[in-house]
Amino acid sequence: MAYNINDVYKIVLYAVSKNLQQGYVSPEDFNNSINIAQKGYVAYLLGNFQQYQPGRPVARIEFGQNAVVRQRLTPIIYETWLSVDGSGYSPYPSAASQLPSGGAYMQTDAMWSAYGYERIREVQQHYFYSIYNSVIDPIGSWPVYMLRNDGFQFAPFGIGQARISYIIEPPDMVWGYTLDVNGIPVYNAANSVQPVWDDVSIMEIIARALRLIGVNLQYNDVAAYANQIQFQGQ
Amino acid sequence: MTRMQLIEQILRQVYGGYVQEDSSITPMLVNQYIDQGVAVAAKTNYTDNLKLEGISFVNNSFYTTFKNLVPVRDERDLWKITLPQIPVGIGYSEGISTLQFKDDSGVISLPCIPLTQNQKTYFQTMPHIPQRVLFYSEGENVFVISSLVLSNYTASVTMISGGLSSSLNSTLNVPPDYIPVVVQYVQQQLLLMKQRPQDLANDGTDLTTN
Repeated sequence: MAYNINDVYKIVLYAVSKNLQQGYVSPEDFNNSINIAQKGYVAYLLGNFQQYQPGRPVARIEFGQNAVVRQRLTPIIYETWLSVDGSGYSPYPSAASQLPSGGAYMQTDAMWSAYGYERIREVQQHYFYSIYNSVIDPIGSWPVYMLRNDGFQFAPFGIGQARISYIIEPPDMVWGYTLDVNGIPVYNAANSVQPVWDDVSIMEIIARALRLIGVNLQYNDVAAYANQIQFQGQ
Repeated sequence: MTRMQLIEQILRQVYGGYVQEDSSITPMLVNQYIDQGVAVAAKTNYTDNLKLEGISFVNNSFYTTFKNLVPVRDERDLWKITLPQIPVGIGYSEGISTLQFKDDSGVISLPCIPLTQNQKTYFQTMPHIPQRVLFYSEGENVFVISSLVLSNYTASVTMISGGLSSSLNSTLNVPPDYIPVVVQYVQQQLLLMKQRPQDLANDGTDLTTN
């Protein structure tokens, strides 16, 4: 059974020992913390730049490394067709098209031609000159794309269409509530946004949220618990 | 074995498994090295045969016949045929084994006789060979010495070649016992390429080479 946002909030409250009067996390603080934690978790799965070595830009954990990492990210992996205009440009897939989550485009996973699954290779701008003018791999038969601020630049320019697999920003989770007669927030699923993650990922995200909350509350036990989970596993 | 099969085999060896989408060693680059590797294999076969048999020759499996090549007039009594590739430099004329012409009705001529560049300097003073046409090759061209109007014919050339290199689905004309020679040559080139440091920074300065 996948955790809903109320389950997640309960776990966080339990960890900070709300009932023992040692700490309390308000719904607003929880919503902020859990979404920061979620972004941190996605960054972790995609690969942290800080772990790169000179001449070996690979993180310890990185997207594409194996099926386990990819499986964790599947809730935010999407696939669609791109329409490429006459100058070879296509905007990033729109957030509105990523139903049901509505998350914005974040990173390309793979790009294929409209005909079968021939690859369209990503090139960086400073390699484009030699690739565009290659006589061994003529650009007409071996298309490429570059990343721009708001979309993709394809070559050859008349490629027409492309097929993309990509990762989106996960939707921000919201623990929605209504106030009861005593002014105490009560969970309301109707105005909540549920997590898209599997249970394993939820635990990772909670650990990251607890670390942030532990810092906020200057609560060393919580921070230590979170660190232990994050670096040594559940 | 098709070219694409060998290309995939080599790529998997070089990359230690299936090839990722962003790999920089492309099939067409490997294909180019394969053409060079075929020439190395043919030369190895030539020297192997000389050592083993005492006779220098290249095994039939290395040869490909290219048909329907069109002769064009180059000079008076001299016709030029453009080959699909430059013949290998084995022996004085091992690169091209046979040149024949075919007319509209499908009648095929006797094979033409090759000349070396040395023989080309004195062949006119030699007795004429009845019913035979002489030719010599230069680079990717074959020059045929004939007073006949050869544009009425098409030429067939049998030469040492890995096959149709422009089609990755074509069969690679290399005997199986010499495929490892091709593979070894291509691997050496590709691994050298992978071992070289890459200039990842576009900072206006080239990498030092030592």
